[in-house]
Amino acid sequence: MVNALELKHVDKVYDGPVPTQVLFDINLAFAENSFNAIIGSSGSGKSTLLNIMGTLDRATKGEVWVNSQSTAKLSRDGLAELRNQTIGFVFQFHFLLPEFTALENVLLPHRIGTSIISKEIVDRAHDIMELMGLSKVKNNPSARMSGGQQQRTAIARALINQPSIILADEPTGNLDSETTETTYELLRKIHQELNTTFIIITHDRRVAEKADRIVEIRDGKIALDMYR
Amino acid sequence: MHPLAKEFLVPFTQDNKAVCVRLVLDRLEKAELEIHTLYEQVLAPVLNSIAPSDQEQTSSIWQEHVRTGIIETIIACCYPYILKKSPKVEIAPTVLVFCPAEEYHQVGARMACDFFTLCGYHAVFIGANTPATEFLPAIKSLTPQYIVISISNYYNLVAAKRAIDQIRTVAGDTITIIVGGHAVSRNGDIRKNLGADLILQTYADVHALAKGDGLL
Repeated sequence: MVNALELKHVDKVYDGPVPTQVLFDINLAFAENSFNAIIGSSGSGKSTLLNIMGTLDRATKGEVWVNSQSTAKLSRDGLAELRNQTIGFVFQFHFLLPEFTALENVLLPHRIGTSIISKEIVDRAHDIMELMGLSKVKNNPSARMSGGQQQRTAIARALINQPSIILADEPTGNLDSETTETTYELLRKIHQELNTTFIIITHDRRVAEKADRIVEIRDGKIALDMYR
Repeated sequence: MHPLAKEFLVPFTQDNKAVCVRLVLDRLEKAELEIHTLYEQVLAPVLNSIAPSDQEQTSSIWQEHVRTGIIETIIACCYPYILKKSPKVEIAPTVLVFCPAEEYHQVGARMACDFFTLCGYHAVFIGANTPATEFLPAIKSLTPQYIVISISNYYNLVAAKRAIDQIRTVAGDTITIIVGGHAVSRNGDIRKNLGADLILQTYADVHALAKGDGLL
């Protein structure tokens, strides 16, 4: 089985007057096209772990491999390129640009990557937005959308560059229970239709228990690694 | 599938409780059926066929609850037959059986409890969704030799580990902690991570333990 993402002996220590170690010798591999949840209490180190997996932060020790490529020796620009091409991010807060429409927000990561917006890319954006149930509101300014629509737009934005991996940090943390269910169903649909690997940090039981694998982080270590 | 399971499935999928119960009681009354065969080869497979734990929910939840209710009625009706078969043991080791917090699937735990009774143990079923505030006083009061934690939904392995940690804090290694259930069967190497001593999944497993304990 090929791994989409792998962490080998990862430690993370935050510098300061008193250095604080938040991750301890983490070894984790996520298979391609798998649907995973990471759970843990506040301060357990799960968001730090996600930032390291997404190459937004560097491990103090150990290695991160993305699509069988070590990120250890990549420059900052090299990491940014790998990230933009391979990983889509979804956060608890959507971080949409309010003055842009939903469609323009979805196209942004591609614009950052190449600056050329081809017809093919616009068609892809339309397809993704249709998949996300956003066709009717795609030309609305993002500020004039419901919370659920904004989060779905953020997910569509994460998908525009056809990433093989989606890293999501509490993607339903700001949504009511009905919208959480809809959003979860969409994530599953993307997983099945686009063969995307999902790694979702969540404290929402309804989301976690539907994942195919749950990793529990406790005090910066893997406490449990469980399969459905 | 056991022939009785096939026969049972017809009234079961019609939610016909009376026919289901009569069908089983008739076989037990005629001594044509062992309890462990009933549980493992009839009730568990038919229940799993309508509510598979490893797939997305397909049948209606209300229907699953009605059918689970039928199975639980049958399990309750089996108790006199279990007592008839249970060996007389002078000092039977006590076994506490429960599901961890938030685990509401209790049929497997009830079946496990009956297996222990059938094998000569003094088995006490506490219930589903049992938090530490309930199982810790029970342990103090009943001083069991064994604790059995049944986990169906794999998310509840987290709560099971917490429960085991809490039991170890008060009892150390003086109690043997056993885990079982669907979530454990899918994560066979998880015993050590959970901090449990044993995994038991079948009547044969409980029978072997009882033989080792000199009860059979």
